[in-house]
Amino acid sequence: MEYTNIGAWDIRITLDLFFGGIGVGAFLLSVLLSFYIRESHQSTIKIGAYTAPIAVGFGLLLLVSKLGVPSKFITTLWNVNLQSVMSIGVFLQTGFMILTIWYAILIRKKFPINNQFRLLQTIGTFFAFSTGLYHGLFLSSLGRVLWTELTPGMFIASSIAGGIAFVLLLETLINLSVKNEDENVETKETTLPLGLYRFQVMIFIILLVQLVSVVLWQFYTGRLELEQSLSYVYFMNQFGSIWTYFVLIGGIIIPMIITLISIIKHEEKMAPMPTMITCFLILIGSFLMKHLLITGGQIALPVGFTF
Amino acid sequence: MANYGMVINLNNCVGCAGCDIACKTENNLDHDVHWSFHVTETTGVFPNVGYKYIPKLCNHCENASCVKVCPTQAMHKDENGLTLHDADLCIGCRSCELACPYDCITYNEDVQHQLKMDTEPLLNGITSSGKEIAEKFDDVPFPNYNPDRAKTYDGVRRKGIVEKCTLCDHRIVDGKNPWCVESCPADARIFGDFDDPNSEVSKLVAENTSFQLLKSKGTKPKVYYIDEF
Ligand code: SF4
Repeated sequence: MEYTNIGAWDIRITLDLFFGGIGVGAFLLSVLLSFYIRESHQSTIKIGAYTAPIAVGFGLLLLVSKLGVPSKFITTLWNVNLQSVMSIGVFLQTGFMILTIWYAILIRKKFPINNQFRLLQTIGTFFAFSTGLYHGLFLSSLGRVLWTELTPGMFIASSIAGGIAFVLLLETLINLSVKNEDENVETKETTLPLGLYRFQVMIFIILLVQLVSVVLWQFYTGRLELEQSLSYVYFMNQFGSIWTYFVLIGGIIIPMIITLISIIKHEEKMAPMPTMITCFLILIGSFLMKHLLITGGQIALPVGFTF
Repeated sequence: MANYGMVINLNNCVGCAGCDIACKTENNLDHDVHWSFHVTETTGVFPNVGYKYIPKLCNHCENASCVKVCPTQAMHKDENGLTLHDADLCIGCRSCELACPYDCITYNEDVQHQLKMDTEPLLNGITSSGKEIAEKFDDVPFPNYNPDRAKTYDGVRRKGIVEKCTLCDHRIVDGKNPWCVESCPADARIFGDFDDPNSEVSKLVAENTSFQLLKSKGTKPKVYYIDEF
């Protein structure tokens, strides 16, 4: 059977969704920490707050550069189609970016806790989740066979894990370079349940969600109608080894094992080297998962399936 | 108000691809742009083989997925049930191209007409190259420019946006058939209004066994195929 790839979207769409996802995860991490454990995680809160608008903005720029007529992107704000997920998503992502800029400015001003800040945290969290979900919903709304109802779950989990990994990697690198790595050890003020104040617990739980959604996607896509299952077989023929080694094992399972060991050892904080390895692997896995899905989803079916 | 669509009688179709060529000349289409095209499929094992030739074009679906996903309403339904594209609103995101299950939407990557750039003559020393012809025509859009086409859509399509079959809406407004219908030597293509029970298309669908492409997608395509063999 002959397959072709429509190839309408290139790596810039992956990068938009990847960096947009990092912005979502970084923002949520910053909000969570600033809500519960401000004093002991100041640098993480700041890095998360500054990363979010830069990452989302960079992703958006790449998306705009991929459009056939980039100068007309702004028209999506008034030529609205309420049936189109992309049309609604433009508002969500733009709104989210504005909120992250506002949040970063307040954080820079020593983040005063007042009603305005709390309101911003709440609305920002809503927009962050909506933007994270939008990325996957956008794909599934196009109705291509590999972009199923499970895609939003895979994307949002990967985005949150990627955002947290990016912030922690950056922070660890900064701490190593200024030899000031103990700022976050103090955790007494935490009120977070499930030991969530520890990053390894946070990462483990999110990766578990991601693992479940990826496995479910593989399981169901391979067993749906002939059209889906054939596309899935083709996808696995093309990208199966990268998917298995870098997305599933490298990007999810190994980081889960590293974080689990740290949790079992009751470590307050993971050492810099395991942290960096974990974060690096998560980022590679998150990027590849999105890229392979976006590329593979554009597979055009053999002629017989268009009759 | 009408609900225009088409019936393709595969019993009559001889697979000459005349409709494909007619569409290209009428709509001034470039090499890789196909509003009307065909797919073929050979099945079975010798000596029990089968061969299918299916002419394809935009199905002008009632429940068009390209219209649903378009973020700017560039892809839209008109009052006559045609699925049309507004070049002024299109941002070139290509979502519609991915959403169309029939591969009937094409994107203009860089230039409109490769022939215009072609420096190689077809016959060395005998014919001019495409580029030379274009230069001789100066400001006249090239090639096959049809001023009638430009009544309802860009006569020469712009780069960076998508395009698709319009069922020759520029001819329909004048009460004429789409050019692929007009030029089919076997009368295999029949155009008409499905809201009119007395139209030829309505009668053909009512009286024959017909099928639509990928009906299971729920797009309600308005191109019906009759195939009794
Ligand atoms: S490419 Fe143009 S017509 Fe197609 S969905 Fe995007 S804006 Fe709409």
